[in-house]
Amino acid sequence: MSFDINQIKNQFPLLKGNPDLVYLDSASTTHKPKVVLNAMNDFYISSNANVHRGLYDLSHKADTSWIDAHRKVAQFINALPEEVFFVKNATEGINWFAQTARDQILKEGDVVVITQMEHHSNILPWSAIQQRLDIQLERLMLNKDSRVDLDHLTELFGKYGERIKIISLAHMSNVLGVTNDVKSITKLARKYGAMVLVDGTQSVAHLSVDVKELDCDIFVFSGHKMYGPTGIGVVYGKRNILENLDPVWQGGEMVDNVSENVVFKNLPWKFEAGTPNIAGGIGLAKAAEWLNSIEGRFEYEKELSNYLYLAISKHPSSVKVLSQPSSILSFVMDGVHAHDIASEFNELGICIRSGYHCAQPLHEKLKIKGSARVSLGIYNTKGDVDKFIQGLDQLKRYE
Amino acid sequence: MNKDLVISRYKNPKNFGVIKDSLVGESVNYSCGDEIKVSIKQTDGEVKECKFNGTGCSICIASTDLLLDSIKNKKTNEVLNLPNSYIFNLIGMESESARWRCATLGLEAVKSALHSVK
Repeated sequence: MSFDINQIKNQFPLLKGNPDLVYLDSASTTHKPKVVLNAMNDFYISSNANVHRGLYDLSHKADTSWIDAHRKVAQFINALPEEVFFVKNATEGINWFAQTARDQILKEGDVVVITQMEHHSNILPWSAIQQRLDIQLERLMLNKDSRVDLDHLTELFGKYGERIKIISLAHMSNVLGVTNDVKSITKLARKYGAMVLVDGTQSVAHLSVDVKELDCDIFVFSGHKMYGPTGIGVVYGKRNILENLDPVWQGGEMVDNVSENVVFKNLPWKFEAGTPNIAGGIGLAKAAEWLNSIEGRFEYEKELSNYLYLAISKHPSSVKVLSQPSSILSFVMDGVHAHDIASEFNELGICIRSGYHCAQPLHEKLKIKGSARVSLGIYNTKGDVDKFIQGLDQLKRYE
Repeated sequence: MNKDLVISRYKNPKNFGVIKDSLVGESVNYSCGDEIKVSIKQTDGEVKECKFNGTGCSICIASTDLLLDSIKNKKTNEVLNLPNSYIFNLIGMESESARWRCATLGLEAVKSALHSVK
């Protein structure tokens, strides 16, 4: 079926119930289509039982749904079902890997490389390691296109060589909207045996993600930014890597034998301790399946992103866009505080984000005190963009 | 909110500046980087002169500027006991506004300055 924006938008109960709302904050969280809400509701109504525990039919039904959810999210990023496990969100996924790395991968004197564009969730877990282990944290600079500078990475490998054990970076920036050349980064990392973690939080809903093609070691993402529920996210890890890592979280149902010898379960279950967010996982799997079923969505988003970029670039105000056309577009205006911009839009029924967007170091590098951000979702229309552009007129009195 | 008043004071604050040899207080909103620094001269338990500098949004700058207008010649103890609602009234803001923190940054800085002698 070809892309029909009205048909898509109608699938979102919140947007259907608020036809005048212009929601331009999908990089923060997306709305949820009815199929996702129904999938979660159906689980509680017809299959609710704990997973991996009971021998009765209802429990088996829950097990089947849970295993199927792993299969679907794995398929969504071209991974094997045993290579994905559920966590709370991407933040928890990065924290999991950072703690795993601290205890099982890194040693004193090693180097971890992040970038200047990272979200706080991909900075703080690594800087926290430094309080316990004497490692070095390097930040990759950005090139003139605002993407990660590959020359700088080459330079860092020249300086540190195999001491660089981990590179952890965003696939798509949550402020600049740019997509990093992950394939070239992993290719370079292979030469020196460094592992690569990709934070796919902003990319999974907007790009076709293939973890095998990216050749990354770890890939994390959240459900709620890809039309799934909050409180659920995914960690992908290459099978041979996950197999050799011990779990950080210990508890029920991740273990086969608890006596003198502790034997953990097979992948991916050894990484899911305790009762998981079953309905969340089922909802996320449904969101992945639903997204994959929509033909033409990438083309539509690209066209809308270009439309937004052109319109804002032409606007007769001091508006300054921070990067290229993308589903995420951040901007500043001379003399107008980002919070004032967002508040003015709020009065017009237009939801946009303002502030640091959890990327304070990037704003400091750009020498700006916060920015305003517009981010598009699959349900946005040219009409939404037009209303936003008209709204910019309101801000002239602040200039 | 009285937006005309807020924008007018944001563009042309009346109390912008620094007073030498005064009590100094500072407050920062880490969520957006806004920071307000006030300098106050008090005599006999009363605020006599006050100025501020720093960066902030329209609500932050205007509410600080209006607050400084209103505390001149007020008893120090009275100023220290001013509730957030006092600021909301000054700019006509509803107390449950998402921007309440922007409005109260100046009051925090003022109290911090006055507390520095207590």
